Amino acid sequence: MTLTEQRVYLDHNASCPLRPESRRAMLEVLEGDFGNPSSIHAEGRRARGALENARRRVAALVGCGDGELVFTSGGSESISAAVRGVCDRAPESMRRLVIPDTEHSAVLDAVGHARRRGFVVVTVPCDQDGRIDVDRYVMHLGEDVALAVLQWANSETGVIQPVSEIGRECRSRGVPFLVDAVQVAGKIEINPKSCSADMLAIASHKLGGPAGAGALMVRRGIRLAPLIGGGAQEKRRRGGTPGLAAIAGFAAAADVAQREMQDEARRLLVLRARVERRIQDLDPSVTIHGHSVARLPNTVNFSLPGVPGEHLVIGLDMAGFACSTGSACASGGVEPSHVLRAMGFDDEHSRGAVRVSLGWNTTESQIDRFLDALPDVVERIREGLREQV
Amino acid sequence: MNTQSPDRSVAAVAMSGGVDSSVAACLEARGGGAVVGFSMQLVDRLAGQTERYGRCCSPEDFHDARQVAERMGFPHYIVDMEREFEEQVLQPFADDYVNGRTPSPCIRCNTFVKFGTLWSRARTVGANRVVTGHYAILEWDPDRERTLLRKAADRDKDQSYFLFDLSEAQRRRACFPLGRLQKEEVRALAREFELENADKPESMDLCFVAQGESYRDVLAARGVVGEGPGEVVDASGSVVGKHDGLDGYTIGQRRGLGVPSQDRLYVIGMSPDRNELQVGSENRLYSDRCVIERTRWIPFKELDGELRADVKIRSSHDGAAATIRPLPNRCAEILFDEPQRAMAAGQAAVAYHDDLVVGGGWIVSADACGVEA
Repeated sequence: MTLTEQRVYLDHNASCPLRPESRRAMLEVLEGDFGNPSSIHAEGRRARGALENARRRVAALVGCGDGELVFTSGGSESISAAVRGVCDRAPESMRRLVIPDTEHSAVLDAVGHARRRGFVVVTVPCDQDGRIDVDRYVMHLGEDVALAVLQWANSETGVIQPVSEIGRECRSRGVPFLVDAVQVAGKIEINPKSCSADMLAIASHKLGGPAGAGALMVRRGIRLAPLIGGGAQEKRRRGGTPGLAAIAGFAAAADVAQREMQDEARRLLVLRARVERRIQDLDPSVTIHGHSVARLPNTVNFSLPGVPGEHLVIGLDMAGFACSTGSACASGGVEPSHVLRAMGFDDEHSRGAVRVSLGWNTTESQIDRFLDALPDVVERIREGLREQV
Repeated sequence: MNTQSPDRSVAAVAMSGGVDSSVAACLEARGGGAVVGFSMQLVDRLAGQTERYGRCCSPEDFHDARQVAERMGFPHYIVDMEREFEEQVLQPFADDYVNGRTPSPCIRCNTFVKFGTLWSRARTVGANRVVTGHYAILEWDPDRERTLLRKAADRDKDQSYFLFDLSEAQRRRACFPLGRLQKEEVRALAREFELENADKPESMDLCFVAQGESYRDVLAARGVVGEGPGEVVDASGSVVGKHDGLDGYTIGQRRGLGVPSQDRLYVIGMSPDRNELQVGSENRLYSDRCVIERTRWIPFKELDGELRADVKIRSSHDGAAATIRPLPNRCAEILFDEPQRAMAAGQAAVAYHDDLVVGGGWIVSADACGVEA
């Protein structure tokens, strides 16, 4: 038995296992398409062909034109490129940024950078389910707003935001609108037209492609300074020779994710409901975050009282199950989740949060094994805490 | 392979990234048992924007620990124990300074953090013991049914003083694989295990103080200011100068007092309630008696009569012959055969019979100041 057969991986929101289709596409590139897409010769043309083919397929998943899609190294680069790119070109009269308080650290960091350059960041609070209220968001959309940002679905809780309503208001007021679609791409239907996004960021490894590739949709007519200079690649929007193997794997994953999206969503919803029911049976005082609002079909985020999330994740890891305390970027640090804090939970409660996120290779029997193992791990942690003193 | 059933013997190793704990982990892993490494995140980046780390818990230390675990093939976790460290070590450390005591953070860290909080993490992975790189020996005594604590074979490295406050239950689940080794043997093992950190310098100072800073910077960063400047008084009680905050002084300190005098003056005491620093000649630093509280006895549960022992009054002290008499409420009185220099409230007094740690307690007061030396 190999490690992967034995282990149960339930951390797809952090990174998905590579889909076999992506692996095949990548190997093909690695073995043959070594040329530089900017070169004149046959090898270059071949690489260019593979790059543009990949662009068409990722654009199809996003629902934008080929010419609107810029390849990047991933979600964080796409977001940084959008925020900095807009701020660099924003006129003096537009010095405000509007963001919800539950955004991903990539956004928080990028706007922090803008703040140091003199931009004013307006933070919109969420409700206790983690939803952003449309009116509370819209009231900040004045003429001086350079950029409005919204994460379509939260990576920690899976809570889905009213992105179309907010997007419509941004469009009608002429406020540039950036949508962080990293967690939703491949899981629910996305379309920049229906959500009125001017820019939209996605990442390959969240949908079963390799890490190291991502994309930023930039609507025609949006002015954006490049984050990385150095060449005319990607219509001067992103310098540097593109990592073609990763991009080909990204495109292959986008194909499958789009094709199977609806069936997959239904399948995962059933599994998610099973997880939630069993956790509630295990301890009726459990909190499932965002339980009463629309969430991604693959994400459950819960706190069991008296069980620190870090303990539970380590205990589950040792028992063969991979979960997370929140977003992977946050768990390296020591702060309780800013998302749960924004939802009004205290630090003690937030430290209890554990995220289980399912994906394309999650099976029913894996979920059953997980749910069978969970009570013992929880009991052992509670015992250990009693013995601490 | 990562899967452990809870009934199998699993060792949780506390890994700082230093040579000692790395070798301890390797010895444990080479023994064939299941091992899980834990690095404790005790202080995140020290306050402020710039990257300042203490002498432990830096990303490099965690990297070193991770490398060892990777090489030996066991899982390794960085666990956030900042809150516990704050409550059990940093806050009492600051309180001690404000109250004119000399803190002993390393002892508290062992008792409450490494063999307290970390134990609860260890239980999470089904571990039945906590392994550290301490230099000390634990030995089961079947007659008394107690776990004895002895000085390390390498007397220069001995850390038994810092471990006196572990309870019987804590000693039972502790394991010190380096206790019977010489430091040179540990370095040789580190090279044998091809550890990248084999020649990493020793960390000697307080782990939570950044390079190039002092404990006063730690106190200042925490906003601990105490009462601020106050008066310096001599043995007769007359004011002879000004001090800039009691937290800047320790008992026995001579330099930096700023009090002109023909005799050499030393800090001989502090009165936090009056924010007063007492100075006097060196002989006033000597005392032949002290009272300890929160006593802990190791080969037996309670001290029920007089006991002769060698008593160390700080980690660097050689130990001095004394008689220990029990007092009510887990207190005891220590009467030294010869007066001892600079006993300080807040430090631990630890009693030995040769290499055996008999027990100890926390110094509350060094009475009979001013005994002629």
